[in-house]
Amino acid sequence: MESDLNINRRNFIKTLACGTVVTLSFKGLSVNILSASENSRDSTHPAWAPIPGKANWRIDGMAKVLGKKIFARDYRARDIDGWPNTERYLYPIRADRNNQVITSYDLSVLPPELSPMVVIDSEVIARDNIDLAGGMIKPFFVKLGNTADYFGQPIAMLIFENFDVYRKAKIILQFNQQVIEYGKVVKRPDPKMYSPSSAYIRDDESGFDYVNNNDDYDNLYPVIADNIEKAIDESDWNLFEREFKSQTTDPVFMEPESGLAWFNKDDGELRLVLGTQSPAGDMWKIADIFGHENCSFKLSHVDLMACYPGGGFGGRDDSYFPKYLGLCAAYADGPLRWVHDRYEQFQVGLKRHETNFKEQIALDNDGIIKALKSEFIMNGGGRRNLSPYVAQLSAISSSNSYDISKAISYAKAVDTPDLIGGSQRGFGGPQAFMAIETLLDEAAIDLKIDPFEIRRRNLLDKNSKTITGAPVHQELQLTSILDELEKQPLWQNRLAKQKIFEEDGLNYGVGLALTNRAYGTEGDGMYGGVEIKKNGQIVVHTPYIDMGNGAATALGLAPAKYLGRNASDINMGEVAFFDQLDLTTSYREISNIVTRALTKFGWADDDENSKYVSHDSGSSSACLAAFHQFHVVEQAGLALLLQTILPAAAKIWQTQPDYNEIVWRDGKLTLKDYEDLSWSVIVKTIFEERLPNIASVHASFVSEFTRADYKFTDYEVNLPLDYVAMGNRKTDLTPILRSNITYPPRKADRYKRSRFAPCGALIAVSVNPKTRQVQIEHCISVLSAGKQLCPEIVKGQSEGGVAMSIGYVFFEDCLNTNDGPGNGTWNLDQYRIPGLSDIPKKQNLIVLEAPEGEESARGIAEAVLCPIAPAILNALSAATSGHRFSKLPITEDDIKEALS
Amino acid sequence: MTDVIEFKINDQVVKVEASDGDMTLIDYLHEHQNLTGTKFSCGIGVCRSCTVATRAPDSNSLGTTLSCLTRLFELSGFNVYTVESLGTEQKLAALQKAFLEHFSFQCGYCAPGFLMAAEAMLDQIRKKPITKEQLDNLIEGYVGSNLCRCTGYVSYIEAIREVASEMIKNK
Ligand code: FES
Ligand code: FES
Repeated sequence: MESDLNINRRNFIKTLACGTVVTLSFKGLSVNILSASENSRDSTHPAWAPIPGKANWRIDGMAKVLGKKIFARDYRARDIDGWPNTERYLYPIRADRNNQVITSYDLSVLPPELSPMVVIDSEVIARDNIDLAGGMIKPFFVKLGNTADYFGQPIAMLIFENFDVYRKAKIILQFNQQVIEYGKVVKRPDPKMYSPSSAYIRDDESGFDYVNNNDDYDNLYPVIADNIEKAIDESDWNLFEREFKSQTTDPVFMEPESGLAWFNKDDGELRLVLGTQSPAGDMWKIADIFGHENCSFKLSHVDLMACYPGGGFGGRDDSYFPKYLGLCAAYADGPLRWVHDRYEQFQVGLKRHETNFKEQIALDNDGIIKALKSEFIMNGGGRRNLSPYVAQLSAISSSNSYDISKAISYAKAVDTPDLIGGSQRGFGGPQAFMAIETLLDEAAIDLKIDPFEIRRRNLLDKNSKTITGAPVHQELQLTSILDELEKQPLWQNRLAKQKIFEEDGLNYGVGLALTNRAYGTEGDGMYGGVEIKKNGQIVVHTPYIDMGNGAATALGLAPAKYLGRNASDINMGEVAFFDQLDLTTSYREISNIVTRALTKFGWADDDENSKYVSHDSGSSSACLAAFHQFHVVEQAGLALLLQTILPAAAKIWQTQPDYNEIVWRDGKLTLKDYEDLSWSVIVKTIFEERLPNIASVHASFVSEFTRADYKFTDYEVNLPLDYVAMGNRKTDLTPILRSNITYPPRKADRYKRSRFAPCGALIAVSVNPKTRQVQIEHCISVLSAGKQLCPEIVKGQSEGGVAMSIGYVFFEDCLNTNDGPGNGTWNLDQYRIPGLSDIPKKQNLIVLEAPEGEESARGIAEAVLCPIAPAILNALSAATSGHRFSKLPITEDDIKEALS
Repeated sequence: MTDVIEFKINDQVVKVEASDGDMTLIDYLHEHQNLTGTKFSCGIGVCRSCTVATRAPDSNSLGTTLSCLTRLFELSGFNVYTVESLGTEQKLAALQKAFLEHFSFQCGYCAPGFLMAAEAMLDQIRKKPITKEQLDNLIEGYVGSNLCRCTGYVSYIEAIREVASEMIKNK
C-alpha cells in the first residue's frame, strides 16, 4: 500500500556504509507479444484494444493464456541473455518454533552425494562481514544458543549443486525433526512497539484536530482525549462498544515467492529476477548487505528484472525473500535459484496482522454519532515492514463514512516472535470498517432507527471533514450508494424471504455495510512515459507493477484521450527510465525565498531547483493505479500532442491548430475545414521533422496535483504536473520549461488521506441450524468508482474481493503458535481459501455514474473488498436473532453458540 | 522393468531414465522440457493450478492430471497436454479466446490449470454429448475445485459455459 521509502535519484547511485558507490538498475518485463494480430484495424491499433479507451482483453492477457514466461517462477538462468546456462539451488533450514533455544543443526541426514556445496549461517556471515539489509533490525540467521526471533527465521541456508540434488535433499530435510536440535523453552518476550504509532483526534467543540493544530498537537492531545472520554462517560448518549479480534491471514497469492540471482564476482554485479511489489526498495535494501568496509564481497552494481507477480495483494511489498536471495547469491559460484513451496510461503510470507481492537460509539437518541473512540493493536510479528502504516490506516479509517465531531483513534503495530505481518489488501481498512459498521448496525436496531437512515444522518459531505480534520474534496456519493442499495428487492423483500427460508428450516438474514476506503497515500509522486515508435505503435513506460489488478491494462488505455489510440505495449517496473530524469525531492533554498510554502504564489524555476519535485514514487499498491498512475501516462500523451502531434499536423495543414479544436475521429486527427490526417501520415512527419517522440512526466499529489505553466514550442499551458521532459532518445530528454509552480497547501501534508472510493454492500446469508453451515446467498455491491477505465476489470476486482472476504470471515486462520503455519507444515489442505462452491450464486455490482465533472477514476481494488466482511457479520446477526460476532474467523462452534 | 520411461508431451515422444521415475511431472516439464506454462502452487493436489490434460494409453478421451502429484513412472504410454499445446497468438483455442474476452483471470497464474481442465471437459462433450441442462454440473465437476485467489470464479465459469454451449449447440 504505502511505503516510508522515498525512491529517488540518489537511491540509484547508492553510497554504501563503507563509502563505496554502487549503481542500481532496473527493468520490467514488457508484454510485447501483442503487436501482430489479424484482429487489429490497422497495425497501430493494438489487437487487445483496437477502440481508443476500451480494452477487448487485458493487455497482458495474451501472454497469460498462452502460458508464456512472465512470472519469476518461470525463469531459469538459461532464459536470460548473458547469464550462464546452469544454476545452483537454495534451500533454507528454518526454525519451526519460536519458544525454544536452538542448540545446533545437523545435516548428516543427507548422504554425501546430496550434501550442499555451501552452508551459510550466522557464523559464516559474521566471518564475511555481512551487514543487515536496509531496514532490518534483527539478524538474518538465528545464532546457535539463541531463540528464533520469529517463526521460520533461517538457521542456515544451503546451496545445492543443481535441481536434482536439491530436489532429493529437500525430500529428506523438509519436516525432518532430526535436523534442528532445540534446547530449553524460553519465556515469550514482551511485545515492543514498531515505530511510529498513530494517534488522531478531532474535537469540533474545541476546534482541535491533527490538520489544524500542527504546533501543539502532541502536547494538547492528552488533554483533548481526556475531555472526549469524559464527555462519553458523563453524557446520556447511547453507548455501543465491543472488543474485536481478527486473525492472521495469508494472502495466498498463487505463485509462491520465487527468484533468480547471480552475483558475478568478476564485475561485482548482482543481478536479480523477482516478482515483487517494491522493486526499487528491494534493490536499495539488498545493497546495504554488502556495505561493510571489510565485507568479503565487493558489490558494484545491482540489477533487477521485475516479472509479473502471480498475485500480490500487498504480500510482496517489502518482503524478506529478495533480501535473503541477494545475500545468498554472494555465496554461489553462478546463478542461484530459489523457489518457495507453499509450506515455506505459509511459514514466512507476509500476513494480514492479527488485530485486537476495541471501539466505542456514542449516539444521541436521534441516531447522531456524537463520539467515537477506537484502538487497534496489530501483531507485526518478528520483522518490521509496513506494519505501522497499516495500523495508521486503521486509525484513519475508524470514522469511516461519517462526520463525527468528537473522535479519538489510536493504532500501533507490535514486535513479537510471531508470523510476519505486513501490507495486505485493504491495508488496515477491514478491521476499522468491521468495528464501526457492526456497532452502527447494533445501534440502529437498539435505537429503532432504520439502518439506512441512521447512516444517512451521519454521512460525510463536502462541508465536513475526516478524523484528521482534512476537508472532503470529492463528491463521495454516499447517499447515492445507500439509495441504490435500499431500493434493491434483496433488502425490500428480506422479511418475506426470511419466512420462505424458515419453511425450509433455514435461518436467513440480510446485512448492510458502507465503507469509505481511501486510495493513495498521504502524498504520492508518480512517473509516466509514452513513446511513439517509428512503426506508429505506442509504448507506455511506468515504474509501476501490475499484480493482477489490471494496472497494465488501464495504463495501456491512458494514451487514448490525447493520442487517439491505445498502447500496443507497456513496459512496467521501469525505474531506470525515469531515474534518468535526475529529479530530486531535496529543495535547495535560495536567497529571498525561504520556504516552499511561499511557492504557492508561484515563481519560475531557478537553475538550482529546476529538478525539484515534492514527492517521489514509492512501492506499487493496487490503489495507486487508476487515479495516480493513469494520470501521468495520460498527461505524457498530452505532452506528445502539444509538442509533437500538433506541430506535425501544423506542418501538413500549414496552420497552427488550436488544441481545443482538434478531434480524434476513427483514428484520424481532424480539424474543421482541413483534411483528416491518418496516424501513419502524422507519424511519418514526426520522424521526418525529428519531433520528439518520447515524453516522460512526473506529478506530485497531496490532496491535489502540483501544477505549473509549461512552455511548449507552440503552446503555453498550465498542467497538473511538476516535470515534463521530451526527446528522441530515452537517455537524453530535454525538460520543457516550467514556471508558476503551484503546490498544494502546506496543510495538506497533514491530511493523511484525501481521496476515497466509497462502496456499500448488501449480503444475504442462510444458516442451517442443524449443520451450522452458512451460505452466502446473494451479494450486491454499489461502488463509487469515478470514471471507470475498464468495467470488466472493476467487476473482476469486486468478485475477487467478495471471495477473499468470505475466506476472511469464515475459514482463513493462521495460528500464531507452534501448531500454526510457522511450523512449516501448513499447506492449502489445512488453510482453506474460498472455492467455487463458497461464493454466492448471485452477485451484482452496481457502479454509480461518475459525479458531474469528475473525469478521473478512483482506486477501487481495495475499496470493493471493504464492505463485504461487515455486511456478512450484520447479515449473520440478522439470521441469528441479533447475535453479534466480534471475533474472526467465525467457526461452526460460534454459529452453534449464536443459535443456542 | 525397463530402464526407460516413454510417453508423449504435446504429441512429442520423450524418454526418461527410470531412475528419474520418482520425479513429478511438473518438475520434469519445468526443469527438463522448459515448458513452464503449467503452474505450481500447493504441490499437494489441492489447488489444481498444475492441471494438465492426459490421454491414457488405452483411451481416446482426455482426462485431467495433477502434475504436482504425478510421478513420471506413472506416465508410461500416456500423452500429456500442457497449455503450450493449445493455441497460438494467431490462432487461439476457443477457451483461450473466451478467457481473454471474458476477462476471466487477473494475475493469470491459475489460468493454465483452468484451461486444461476445461479442455478435457470439452473433449468429453465432444465424445459424449450432453444437454444444456447438464452443463453446469459438468463444469463444476471439471473446474469446480480449481482455486483462484484473484477472481471470484464468475468470469471463468461464464467463459467456459459460453464455449461449451456453442459446442452443444453445434452437435
Ligand atoms: S500445485 Fe496445487 S494441485 Fe498441483
Ligand atoms: S487470476 Fe490470480 S490466481 Fe487466479
